[in-house]
Amino acid sequence: MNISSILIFLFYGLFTAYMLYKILMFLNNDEDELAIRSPQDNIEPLPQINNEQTHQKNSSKVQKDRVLNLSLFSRPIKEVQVDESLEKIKPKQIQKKTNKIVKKLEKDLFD
Amino acid sequence: MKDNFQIDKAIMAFKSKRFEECRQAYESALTKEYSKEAWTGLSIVKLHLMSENQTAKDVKYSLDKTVQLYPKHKNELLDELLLNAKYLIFKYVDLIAQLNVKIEEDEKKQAWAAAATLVSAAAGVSSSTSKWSTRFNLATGAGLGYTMKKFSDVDDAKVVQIGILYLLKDTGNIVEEFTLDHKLSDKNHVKKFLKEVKENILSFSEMEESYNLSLEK
Repeated sequence: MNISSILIFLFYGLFTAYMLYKILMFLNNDEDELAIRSPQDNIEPLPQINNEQTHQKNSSKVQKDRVLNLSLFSRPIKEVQVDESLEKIKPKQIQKKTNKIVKKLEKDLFD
Repeated sequence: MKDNFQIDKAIMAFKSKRFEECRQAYESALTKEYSKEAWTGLSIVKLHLMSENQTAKDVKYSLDKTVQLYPKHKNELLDELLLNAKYLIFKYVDLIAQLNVKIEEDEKKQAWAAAATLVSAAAGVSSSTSKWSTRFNLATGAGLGYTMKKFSDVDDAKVVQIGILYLLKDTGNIVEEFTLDHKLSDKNHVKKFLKEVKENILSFSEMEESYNLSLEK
């Protein structure tokens, strides 16, 4: 084996190693890009950013509304009682009854 | 009674539910000359204006004055009072029920808006129902006759409901006091009327307690 063949072997060895390195780098970059474009990354962070911006922009009134909205999910006992009583009132049934009487009395009074 | 245009004007206004104009016309008629018709009319129109600018004391004073001036007329006045009070009480019951429907709708809208985390939409729901006068106009078709001025600045529909419940109670109390003071409470139709009022008040008592709200009388 002469020197020239050793040099050629080394050259091809280095070239192959370089090419393998490039291929691996390319594959790594591709995976990163795919990860950025995944729907999980695109959808999840946006509402968080929007919410933060909205909170900063909104006045105290909106903050009050938010508190009210939250209270709908964590209702104290008294608020539950409100709902129970509203069911007992049955507004549509009351309206059916009162509408007839009001109309009749309205005729007596204002016609 | 001599011809008095102000009385005719008051009757016209009453029939068209322009109660404030009606009150002014009766007062003009009384400034000129006292009459049974004008005092009766004034008492009744004040009862209709309790949701606007009149108090139960105004109504009571006017009713007592009418009986004091025209004692023979008290049965006729009682019939007028019962008819008008009955109309108002059912009107108030109807309004309380309408407000219940509205409150439930608003709460549902707000719950949906909150669930979807649409903060701006939630603000929209709130602002669309922030004024009682707007809600009332929607509920009664331009609020003809009763603009409920006493509650025009109230934001919370539940407070307005309790306010109307107090109006209902006041109306019942006026009739009860009037019949007791002038010894008319033994009449069957008076008893029946007062029983009806108490039943209506009782049907809303749970709502009043559960709201845990207080309103100055």
